[in-house]
Amino acid sequence: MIGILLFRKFLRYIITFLAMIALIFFISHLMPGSPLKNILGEETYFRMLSQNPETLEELNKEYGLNRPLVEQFIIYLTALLNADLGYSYKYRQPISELILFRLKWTLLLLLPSTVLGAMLGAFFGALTGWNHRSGLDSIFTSWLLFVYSMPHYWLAMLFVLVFAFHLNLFPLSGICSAGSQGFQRLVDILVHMALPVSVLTSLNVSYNYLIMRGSVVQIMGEGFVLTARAKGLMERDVLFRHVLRNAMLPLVTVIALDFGFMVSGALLVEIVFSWGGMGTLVYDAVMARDYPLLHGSFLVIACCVLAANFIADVLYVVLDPRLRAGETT
Amino acid sequence: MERCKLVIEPIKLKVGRGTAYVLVASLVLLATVPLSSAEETGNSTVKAGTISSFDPMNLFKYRPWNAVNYIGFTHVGLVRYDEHLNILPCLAKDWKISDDGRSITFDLVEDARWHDGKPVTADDVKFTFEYNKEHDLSIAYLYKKYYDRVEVNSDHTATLYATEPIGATLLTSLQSAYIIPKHIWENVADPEKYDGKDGMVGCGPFVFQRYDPVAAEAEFGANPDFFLGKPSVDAVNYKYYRTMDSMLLALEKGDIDTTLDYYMPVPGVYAATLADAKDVSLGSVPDVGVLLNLEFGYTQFLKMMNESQFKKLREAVSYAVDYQEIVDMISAGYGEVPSRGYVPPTAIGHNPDIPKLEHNLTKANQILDDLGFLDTNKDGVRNLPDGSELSFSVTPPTWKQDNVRATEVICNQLSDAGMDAHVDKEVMGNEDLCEQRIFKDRDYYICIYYSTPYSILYDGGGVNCANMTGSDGTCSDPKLIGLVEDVRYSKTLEARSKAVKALQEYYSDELPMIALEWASVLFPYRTDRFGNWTIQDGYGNMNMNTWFSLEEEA
Repeated sequence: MIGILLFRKFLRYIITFLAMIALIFFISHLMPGSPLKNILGEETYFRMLSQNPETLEELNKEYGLNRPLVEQFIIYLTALLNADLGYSYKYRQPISELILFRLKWTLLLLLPSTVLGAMLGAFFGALTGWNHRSGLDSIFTSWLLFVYSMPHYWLAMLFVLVFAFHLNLFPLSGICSAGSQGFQRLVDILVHMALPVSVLTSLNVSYNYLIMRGSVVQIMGEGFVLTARAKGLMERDVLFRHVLRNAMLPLVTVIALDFGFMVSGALLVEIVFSWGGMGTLVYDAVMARDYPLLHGSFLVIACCVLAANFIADVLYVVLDPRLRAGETT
Repeated sequence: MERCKLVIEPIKLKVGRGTAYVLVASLVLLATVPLSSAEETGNSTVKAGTISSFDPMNLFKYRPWNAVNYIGFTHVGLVRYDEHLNILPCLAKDWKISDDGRSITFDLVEDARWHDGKPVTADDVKFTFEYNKEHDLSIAYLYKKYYDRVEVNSDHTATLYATEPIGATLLTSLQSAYIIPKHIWENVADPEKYDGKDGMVGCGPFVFQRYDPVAAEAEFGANPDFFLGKPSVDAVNYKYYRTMDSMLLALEKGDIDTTLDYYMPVPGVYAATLADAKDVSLGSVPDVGVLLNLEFGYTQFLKMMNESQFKKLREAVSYAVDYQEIVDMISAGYGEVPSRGYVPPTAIGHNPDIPKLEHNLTKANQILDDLGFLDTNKDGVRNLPDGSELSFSVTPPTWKQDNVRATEVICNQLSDAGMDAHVDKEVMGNEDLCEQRIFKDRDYYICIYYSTPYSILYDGGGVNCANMTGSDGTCSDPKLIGLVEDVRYSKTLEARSKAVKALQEYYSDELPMIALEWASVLFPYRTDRFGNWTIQDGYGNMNMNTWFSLEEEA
């Protein structure tokens, strides 16, 4: 039963993935502006546009940009089937190499901040949801609502100004300092990670906290909570063994959905901290109209989002006995 | 019956003290780790920041201008500029422009060596020009158009032939034609994909040491065998920052000593903050291009009025513009009101006697009144003699935010003189249409554009206003075309200077385009670790001379 359920979901994700490939391709080509402007440089491009349009046409031919869009799409799909993501116009490197290099640095920011954000958000959300209307609840909710309402980049800039510039506790930007090696390198990277991870974690905590708190408040009135109490369980056991497990369901969905948005959310944080990850790669690809890089980057992000959603589906089955019994789909 | 009452007992938050101690200790531990490589590199290492990415580190990977930043460390051209852009010997110790202006013969220095120890010869010069042409490398754009061939006369003498008599123009553009080693590149069929470790071998003042892609930082060591002598600093560390803000914070904090980007000055809006920073100098120098100009679209206006009326209208527009407001708004006051001669003071042949542009609304109104462009229907907009309104659009390049802002201000200023000037709404949000309007169809009334240093260097800005081969302007006046050709095809520097002066006279009389400001450009640097920076006009400290003038502060 569970196997069939998950297989059906898997099929749905495959169809979604194929639709995304097409969408990513066609939408990116709808952007105004030519990639040649970045390849040639603004001045050369405009001079050619004005004086030698035929040379520009030749270049368009060379890059395959003059072909009908559908034909370009078929070429792209064929290359994809051969696991070839193409070659970046801007970086002059194979896209798979570029993405692999950048993705690991983005994950280095995202994984700790996602895990920490989920754990802290869930813990404090459950706690204050259980004790809602208490002093603790008022303080936490007001503060985290305040954090939640801050734009990512603004919070990042605030952290840079306070902790890196004025207090000089952390580096201003970058992933590490040049020349460090071995253990020193590891520590150096941790030092550089501290501020961006703190920013992303703060934002994740605030979001997850609000979801969890609302979920716990809603569940507290359920009959099974009363039953658990009637059995004489300690309050802590009621909360963490019964309420939390049920309240986790919306949070799991949110974390999974959030995974994709986190790449875009991390973009601004990456820019502020000059962190060479996926966010800045996507940004550069858009600015340079680097179509192959755009397609490759979005494809990887789409895969991550779908994978996260699929994992969420599996977790749902694990967490929710009704799904295992086939009560709902 | 009493209903069961749900009573919830609060749970006390018990975050152990141990956890708190661990958190604090981790933060303290992390904070005590050295934050930059300053401690490792020593005092005679200049730390420079850039916002132009350079990953991966390879001579031809990035084109066209990002690469210039670091090629300038490792490679040199036949000639170089002094701080006021006068031509100085470099790899060529001497040169002679032929009488017909079609060729330049260079005598090369004899003790120049590539970083791998091999001698630099005239064969390398010939190879460089041919290789650039063959592979269509954009960095060669300045001269490739007129490049014909190079003949090697001896091991250290070569003659460069042009297709047109452009000796002086060619010579002034050769500073950025970096010579590359034949023995490395002759075996490379696709330079843009070449990843060999010898890809950064040059004969310049610094030798490429290493590039750390994670730290986005490269290191260049001083070349003790450089033919002009060893630089006065031991090394340059070159670090990439994602944004101007983070780079300037690093400068203020002392993480870097200077910003170093080819023709990418710090915007004036940062000037006030930087001026207040301790041990930071703004590095303000006059620009070599024209940051903002106003180009008239002859084709469109001549459909609206005759030649003589249009000339007077241009005059009226020049009086209606408040230049100081533009300088203050776009460059935070770091600039000056330009002259009617357009060409900035840094250019060869600049004529300081040409009068400055003047903001005088009374004169603007008087000229328009004299033309008979009166507001006959009292709606606030002047009417042409046929009753139609004096109404036209102003087109900015939509990808340049400063130009869009300036366009809005210019429209307001022209409206004060009764002209219905409005931002060209058709091109806003449609970059493709904007490009087509400015460069292909050229069907704008007024375009708020700019002249790059290249435009000034090439033909005194003629490229922006003349309707002729090699230009994208709209003015077809044979006199202007003749003057622009004189500048382009000047055979000697003296002839070029004279031709530029004559062109400025024309600009002043006819106003085919108007400079909206002569900006000062900012290339800030720190003064606490090194002194005696050489700040070149237009380019700041991004020049070879600074590596020899720098002095370590005690």
